[in-house]
Amino acid sequence: MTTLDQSPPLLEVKSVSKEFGGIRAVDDVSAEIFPGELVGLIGPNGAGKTTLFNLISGFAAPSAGTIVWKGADVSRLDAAGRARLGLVRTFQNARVFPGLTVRENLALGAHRFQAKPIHPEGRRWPLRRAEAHAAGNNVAEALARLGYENVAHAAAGVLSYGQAKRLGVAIAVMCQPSLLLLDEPAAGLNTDEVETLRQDLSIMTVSGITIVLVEHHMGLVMTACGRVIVLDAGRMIAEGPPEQIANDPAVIGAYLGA
Amino acid sequence: MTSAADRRQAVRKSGLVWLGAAVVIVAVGRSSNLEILNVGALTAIWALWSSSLNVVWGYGGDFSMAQIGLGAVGAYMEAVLVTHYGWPFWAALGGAVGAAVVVGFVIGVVAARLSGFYFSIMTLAFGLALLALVPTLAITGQSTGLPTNIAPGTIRIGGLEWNLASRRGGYFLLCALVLVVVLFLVARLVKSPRGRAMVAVREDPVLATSVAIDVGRTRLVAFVLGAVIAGIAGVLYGGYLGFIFPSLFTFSAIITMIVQVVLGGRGFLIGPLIGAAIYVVLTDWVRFGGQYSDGVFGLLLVVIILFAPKGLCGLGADAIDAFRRRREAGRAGTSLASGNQPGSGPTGTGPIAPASDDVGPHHSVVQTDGTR
Repeated sequence: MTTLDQSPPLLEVKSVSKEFGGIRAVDDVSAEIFPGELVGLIGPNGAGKTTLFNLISGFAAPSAGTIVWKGADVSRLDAAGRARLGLVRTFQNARVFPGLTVRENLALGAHRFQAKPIHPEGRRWPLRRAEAHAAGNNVAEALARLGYENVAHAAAGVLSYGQAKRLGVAIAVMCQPSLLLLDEPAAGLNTDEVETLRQDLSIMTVSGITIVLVEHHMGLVMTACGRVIVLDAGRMIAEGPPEQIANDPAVIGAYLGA
Repeated sequence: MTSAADRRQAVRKSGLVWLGAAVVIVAVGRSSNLEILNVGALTAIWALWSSSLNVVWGYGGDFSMAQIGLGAVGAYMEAVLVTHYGWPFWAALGGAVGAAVVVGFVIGVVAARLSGFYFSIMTLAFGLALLALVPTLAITGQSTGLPTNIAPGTIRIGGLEWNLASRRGGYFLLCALVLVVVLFLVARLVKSPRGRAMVAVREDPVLATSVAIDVGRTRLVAFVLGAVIAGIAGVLYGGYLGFIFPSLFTFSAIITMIVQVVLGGRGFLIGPLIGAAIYVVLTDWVRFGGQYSDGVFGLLLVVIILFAPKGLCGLGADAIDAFRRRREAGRAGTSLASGNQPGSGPTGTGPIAPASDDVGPHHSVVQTDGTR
């Protein structure tokens, strides 16, 4: 991590807490995510992982603490605004636009580029068309990469669970995130699909996307992630490289309920 | 994938549809049968009005009950400007649409903060308030109402000539042309980025937010667009009747509109037109159900929702889909289920044919993560 520490953090979570009627779902958590990292976020059920994702992505407001993105406080920015800055998340369930085709789903991921304000120097129509064309090309490329060309015109709602889940990740990638928060992408997938996910993760990392991965699939976390953060009952109880985390008595205790 | 060729073919196909519409309109417009002309004009007006609900609900996903109220705003504004202030028709149309937009914007700002059922109740409250309020003003003639006195002018095509206020084809032509223009613009809208955002918000507002779509603004834009269309429809409705009064704009009209949109198929461009045509032909022409027609249409609504929730257009689209799939399956044998394609790269997963019976647990009703 020595090289990574040289660059300023992409995301800083500063003493963030979230209370739900007296229950502290997230309790004074602080963390930094550096560009290029693939960080695992693990913990038993109810540890506050998804809540922390909601706080970072703007789907919920913290009770205390701040979220700093590329050096600027974004705590008061809404979720769509944060996505526009490149802070994008996925959801635990296979979340797609069910009534739209696979192609349309991917195109909507790239929506912010098609709806972008017109370049001040360019003329209106040709430029907008050029942008739409470029976005269309990206969709074709994404379909090819996913191997989804022959379901391109099928409604996303009829995909299998694994396919829909992968499409959900692809929609987020089309949004061209700097940081992608993946919420249990492996849950419900079979062995082959997890293997595909592992390859997808490495392709995303190579193409410059920083990733935070919430996951219960320990095999995936331990092999894919460079650093692991452990939450238990809303608190951060450990942080470090996977091999160190695997042998950490506090972590073992949290999982065994000791 | 030859998307350029696909697009050319789609353009040619839609060109044929628009041409066909023009032929039908001119044919009906030249008819001398007054009954046909009246049914045609009323169908076009209702189709337009219901399209305002289709934009907000069918594409935007927000079930609005304010469309009749917004249409009443348009109709009354037009009548007041023409009758009391002597404005020409087209200027008054601008004023009427402006009034509908202002009212629609105010309602939209308040209602778009709510979603689902609460949005509907809020728009119902506003809609009924408009229907109750507008007729109490002295300038709207109160319970007597006021004449619309419209004179939109004359158009000539070759040797043919229509006075647009005339019952002899002119008014039908005006309504039909406005409908065609509005439907064309709606068709363009739905394909534009903003229109795609509207549909995305309908499909899943949380997912839409996660890809940087401003859900609140998108819903407001859809609602204001609906107000524009409702305002125009109200003006044409007033002009068609020649005189407007409070009991034209009632809760029963709200139900009528819902029946038309659901019957035709919401989220389909011509759904409202089909629903309106069936409704107008049945009620105004054959007097279907007689004095019980409200009850009969209520029953029809129940049947449609139970057995064809996507409406007649939905039934048609499903039939075409099934036909196409059967034809493709016949042509391709069993290759649909053949798994990985040779060129699908290292990340291709198992069989990628759509498994229609395996929808899986996505889009469950209860979402535990990220609520709006």
